[in-house]
Order: sequence, then structure tokens, then C-alpha cells
Amino acid sequence: MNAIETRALTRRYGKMTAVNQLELQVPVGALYGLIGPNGAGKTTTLRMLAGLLEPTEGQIVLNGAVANHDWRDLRRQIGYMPDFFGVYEDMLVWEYLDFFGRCYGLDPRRRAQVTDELLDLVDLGEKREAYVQTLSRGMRQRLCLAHALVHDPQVLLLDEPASGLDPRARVEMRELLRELGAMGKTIVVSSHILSELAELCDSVGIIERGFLIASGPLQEIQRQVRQGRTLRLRLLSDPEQAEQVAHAQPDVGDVYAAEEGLELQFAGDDDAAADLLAALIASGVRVVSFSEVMSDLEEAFLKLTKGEVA
Amino acid sequence: MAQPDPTTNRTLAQPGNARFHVALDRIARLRLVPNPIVVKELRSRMRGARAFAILTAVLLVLGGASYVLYRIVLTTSRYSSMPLSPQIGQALFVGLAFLELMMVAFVTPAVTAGAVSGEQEKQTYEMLLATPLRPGAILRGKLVASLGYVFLLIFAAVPMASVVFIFGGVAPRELLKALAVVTCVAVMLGVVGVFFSAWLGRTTRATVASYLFVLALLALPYVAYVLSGVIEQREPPRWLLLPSPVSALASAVAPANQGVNPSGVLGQFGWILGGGISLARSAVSQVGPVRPLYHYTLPLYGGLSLVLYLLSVRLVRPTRRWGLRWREIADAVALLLAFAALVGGGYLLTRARYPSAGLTSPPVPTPEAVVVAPPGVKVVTQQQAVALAPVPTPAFDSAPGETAALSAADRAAIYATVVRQLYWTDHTLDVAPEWEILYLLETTDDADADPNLPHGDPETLPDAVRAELVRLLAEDVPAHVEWVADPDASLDSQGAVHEGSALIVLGNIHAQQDGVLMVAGSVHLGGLGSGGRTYAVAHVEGAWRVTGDTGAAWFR
Repeated sequence: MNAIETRALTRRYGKMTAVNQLELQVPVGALYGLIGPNGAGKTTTLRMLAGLLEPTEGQIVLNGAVANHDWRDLRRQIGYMPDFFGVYEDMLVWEYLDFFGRCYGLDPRRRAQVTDELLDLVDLGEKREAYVQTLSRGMRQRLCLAHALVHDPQVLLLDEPASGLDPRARVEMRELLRELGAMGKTIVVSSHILSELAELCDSVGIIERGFLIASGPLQEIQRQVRQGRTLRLRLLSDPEQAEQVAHAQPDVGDVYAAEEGLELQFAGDDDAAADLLAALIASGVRVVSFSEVMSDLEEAFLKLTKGEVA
Repeated sequence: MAQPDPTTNRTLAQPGNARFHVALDRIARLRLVPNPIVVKELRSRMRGARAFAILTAVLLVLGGASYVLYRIVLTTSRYSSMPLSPQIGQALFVGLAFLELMMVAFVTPAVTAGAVSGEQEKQTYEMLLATPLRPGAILRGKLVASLGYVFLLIFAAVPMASVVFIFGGVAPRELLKALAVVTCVAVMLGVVGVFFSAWLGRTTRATVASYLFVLALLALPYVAYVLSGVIEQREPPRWLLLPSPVSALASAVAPANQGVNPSGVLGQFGWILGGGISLARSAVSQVGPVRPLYHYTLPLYGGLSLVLYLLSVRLVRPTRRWGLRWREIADAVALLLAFAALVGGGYLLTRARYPSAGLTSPPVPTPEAVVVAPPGVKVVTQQQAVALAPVPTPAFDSAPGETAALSAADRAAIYATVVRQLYWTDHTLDVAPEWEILYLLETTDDADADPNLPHGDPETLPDAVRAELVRLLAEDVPAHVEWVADPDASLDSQGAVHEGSALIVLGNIHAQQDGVLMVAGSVHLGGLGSGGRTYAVAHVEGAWRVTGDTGAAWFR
């Protein structure tokens, strides 16, 4: 059962197609990451899912029901946190949540209860009586997340929830999302930073220029991305010999000389990498270090995506 | 008693009553849950000292202005023969009413222009739209919250405005009318501000647009009016002033039917700001009180507000803004029709009170005969023409017998205009008369209207003239007309005209060399009083009209 399913979801702005025939499938309870560079169509997709933007074409199916023209039902089932957001001035933290509780039509008792619970959840209990504008960026982000939870939605759409946060706040946010995932909520998180999502999500979709070019469980996607990794060898022996051995192995692409050794393009998975190392050592190559070049994962992935789209 | 009514229980439980339950549900949903936006806006707006500081400042300004006005009236009316206290009351009232209007005109755009665009600029709008709150509810919340603050400013001044009752000269009804006009202007400007805010998406732009609208509303009608007067060289049409909130307020505070000469501050104010250009006052030859201008202005504002509100609701929607469905169009049309029906019904219900068509320009008296003034000051002299133009005490050029040159129909028409003038305007009462019987003396009597004037001999009106006069009066004078040969026939035992009736005595028709006819006329009302004067009547634009008078000859 999919919590969210889109069918040929398309959004055009004039001639520009921001989202193109998107077929997204997010299983119930998944922590789904939507990855893509800036301008890929992540925000447009999330806004359409939140009922804030009308698709030019296509359908949104939420928990098996096709969202109707009104979007009001959609909004009741979805909690949305935009990528950029402001806070109302002259408003206390609890009033902020109380306001959204009113917007979602909660009765007064439930509202008070939810406000307290959510402030505890996002760890803002102490800031209850503080003015919203005095909160730090991380606190605001958590408050905004809390606002999206006021009506206890089963689906959460979070647009770049960690952007602009310091590492500590980032970790806090990640823990919070894990906690929500453990509560059984379906969460869609967008980001342009792969590593950020890799630590959090169980499945990801890669979006590029409006196309969904890959979607599935994280490991699978990661393997696809890793196929293009670069291995670096520090050698004591002759690089030429190592090069010959390497070329004889499968999955090895270009090999070129590097400082104190070799660098080689490697398309295989970790097993294949271990095999390569074993073969090198077996043939007498003296390997000091055998490591993956920690190229920015994002870059690698972008290399991959660009190849596919073009 | 404790036993539940079995029939009711059964009916409620019946599945066939689903419709009833739906209705119940609807009523339950109407429970008075405050609009979240209102709660939020009021919480942040009324927090801290700012809101109260502004309120205090506004009240101080109004108080200071009232005091200044009080000193001014005190100084200027020291030598006036009029009683001072009501003058002070009226001056304070008018001053406060217009200050309030100006305050509303300049505060409302500032408060409302950020309603929607402010949310967009603060990037809080998306989150608001992502809630199931309806666009209409968002808009209404914004409107109520910002107008609530404007209303607070308006109504906080009411206790202060009631100081005018210490001085007198103003009826509570007039205060309420002024309040109603100011409130309606506030609502309209509020909707305009919110509309611009939703449409332009930037607070600065919306603010500028709203203020331009306010300025246009204040200035354009007068510019158009004066220009039209200068270009056409005649009294401009009254409807040009219709959109002006200032004229609307002037027409609301000026007593509708104050007699011939505007007296007192209220009348003069009405004069200067609209009444004088025949807005609030009945004009020459117009029969009966004219519907005041604000009766047209407020529905106009209401309609404008409604249309802009409907447009704004579409603008606030995040999706499917202009993809209208038939149902939505039908709803909007139904709303507008309901409003139109309300206004139309209001007009129909009050039609009896305002017998003359209100929006026509008053007829122009033949200038050479009545008003001799250079064109440049025409507007001013026209103002006086609204009251009747003064005519020098006539030395009648003709003997009464010469009126035989006029046909019976003409004579009847001439007398009809005089009777109407006496009946509707010059009856010496403040309110429109509701006489059941109007006695007319069969014989003419020049001396009854003004004993000091040279006068001809009494003459019995021919049957043809009398019959035609009755026919003409039946068109618009609600009273029953009865001819009496002897004035005593209309009097009761105490020598006063019967209650609920009036006696009108007409004079002979004296033709002047310039073609103007002089006709004396007087009215006697029970114990209430009587008065008479000599009217100038001329044939203007195809009809006999009263163009001037000699001024009240006497009042009792």
C-alpha cells in the first residue's frame, strides 16, 4: 500500500516544465528522501502534494484515494513544512501552535493537549512562553515541524528540513524525524545533499530537471551511485604491474597514475572491490592503502544523473 | 417530564430524516468558533503598548480638535442672533464626524493593505494555505481583525462625540447616521485594502494603491463636479458627487428638510460640502424632500465591497484561482442579486418618504430673470437659488384682471407649483407634513400672504382652474384637497385649522414686464403656525416653476 502515489504528475510554468510525468510511489511508513539539485522540481512536487499548487496534468493518490479538486481533504491528511518560512511576530511559541490548532479545527481541550505534547516532542517546552521571533534557526525549524504535526497527519512533507542548520541542530532534526518515523508516519524529506538523506531515509527518489530518474530502497540507489566510484591505491611496487592486474579485473574502467600509486574508475560493488584487492595482492603488488576517493557523494550522483537525463 | 417524547425519538431515529440531521449538522457547524485568523491577529496586534498608544493619540487629537472648534465657534458666533449652544453642538458634531471620516480614510488602508501580502512577504502564507482553512475564512479573518481595530478607533470616539448632546442642536439619530456612514466607509476601504493586498502581493504596492484610491475617492468627484460645471456652464449632475464619502457624510448629518434658508452649522456644512450644490437639500420646484445622497453612496460602497470581496477570495486561493465552476459563479451571482434585492427593497419601502426623484439636477431658473451673477461665481449663486432666489418687493405691473390672458390650465399649473412649494418645503415645519386634508380657499387673497404689499382685489377662482388644480395636485400631494369658500370652514371651535389639515390661501397672478409672474401664497397649520410669502413663477424648460420669492413675509 502506498501512502502517496502520483500518476503522470506534471507541472509547467509557461514553457518550462518543472515536474515532468512524475510517477512517485511512497509506501506507508516509509522515510522517503527526494534528492536532486536545486531547481530539479523537488519543491514543486512537494507543493503539489500539499495542495498548494495545482498540477498541470496528472493525479495525486493519497492512501488509495484520488485527491479531488478541493484539496481540503488532502490538507487534513498532510503536514507540510516549506523550505523557506517566516514566523509571525509578536506571537508566543504556544500561541503559534494554538493558532494552527485552530486552523485545523481542533477543539480547545485537544488544542491545549496537542500544544504541550508537540512542544515536548520538539524539545521546546522551555520556550513555551517565549516570543517566536527570539528563537534560533534550529528552534524555529523544530517549531515549524511541530506546526505540521498539529493535526496528527499520517503523511509529512518536509522541504529541506535541515537546510541552514548547524551540525548539532542537524543531528537533532534527524533524531526527531527518526522518532516520527518510528511513530509510523510516512515522511517525505527533500534535500539536495545526498549524505544527509542517506543517514535518515530507507528509500529515496532522485529527481533531476523534473524527471524522477531513480526511485527505490536506499541500498539499491546507493549501489547505483557507487558504480561510478574512484579507488585510490598507494603502492610500494611498480604501478605498471598493478595497472595490468587491475585491467584484467572486471568493473575496472580508466586507470591513471597518481601520486605514489594509481587511481582507477571502478564500477563494481564492495564485493568486487574486495576481489580486486585480493587479486592485486595475489599477484604480488605491494599495496599500502586501498581506499575509495571520498569524492562528494553528491557530485558522483550528479555525474550519474546527468548522464541519464542527457 | 423526564420521559422522552416517544414520537420525537422515533422521528429522529428514522433514516428518512437524514436531511434533518444534515441540517442539524450544519447548524452545529455554525457554532461560534472564533476565526483563527482573528484570534491570531488580535493577539499580536493588541499586544504591547503600540495599539493603545495609537488609540490614545487619536483620542487626544480628536479631543484637541473639538476644543479648538469650540473656541472658534464661541468667537465667531458671539454676535450672532442665533442661540449659541446648539451652534456649538452642531459645529463639534460636524467637526468630529469629518475628523473621524478622515481618520478612517487614512488609517484603514494602512491597517488592511498588508493583510495578504504581509503573510506572503513574511513567508507565512504557504503554511496558512496548507491548512484546511477556507480562502474566504482567511480573508474574512483578516478583514475582521483589521477592521476591528479601525472600529475600535471609531467607537472609542463615540463617548467623546456625545459631548455634543450637552450643547444640543444634534439629535442622537444624526449621530447614529454619521456613525453608520463612517463605518460603511471603513468597511469599503478595508475590503479595497485587502483586495489590493491580495492582488498586488506586495504591501508597499498595496498601500500606495489603497491611498491612491482614497485620494481619488475624496477628490475626483469634486474635480469632476466643478469641471462639469465650468465646461457645461450649468448646474452639474448630482450623481457626480455620489462616490464621495465626504458628500455622503454631509448629506447624512444635514437635516433633510430644514426649511428655506439653511440655518445653523449643520445646514451650512451640508451646504458647503454638498448640500449647497443641492445634495442634501430639496431644490427649487422639486417637490418634497430629496432622497439624501448617502442613500445612493452606501449601496454603491456595499456593491463595490461585495464584488472586491468575491474577487479577493479567488485571489487568495492557492489553486484553481480562475477555474470557476458553475456552482461558484451561481453562488456569487446569487449573493450579488440578494444584495441588489436588499437595496431595491429598501428603496421601495422608503419611497413614500422621498417622493421626488433624487438624482436629477435641479432645474435651472432662467438666469436673467432670477439670478444675475457673473459666470465665475455661478456655483455660489446657485447655492442660494436652492433656497428661493430673493426677488425685490414687487410693485405689481399688472392689475389682477390681466391674468385672464393665461389659460385655465396654465393658471392651474401655476397655482399647483405654489401649493407644492408651500406643501413640501415652505410649511414652516421641520418634518415633511402628513396632512390628511388640504383646504384651499376658493377666492384669491393677495393680502393674506403679505399685507404690506400692494394687492389686487379678491377674485373667485373659476371652476375649470379649480378642477384642473385638484387634478394636478392629486399626482403627488398625498393629502385630500378640499375647497372652502370661507376660511372659517376649515377652522375648529378654537379658531385653529383642524388637526391634521392645513389651509392654503392663494393670491392673484400678477404678470411682470420680464415675464415673471408673482403669486402670493400662505399656509395655516392648526395651532402650529402659519406663514406666507410672494413667489416668482416662470415658465422654465416647458413647465411652470417657482424660481424665487420675496422672503418670508411673516411667520406666526
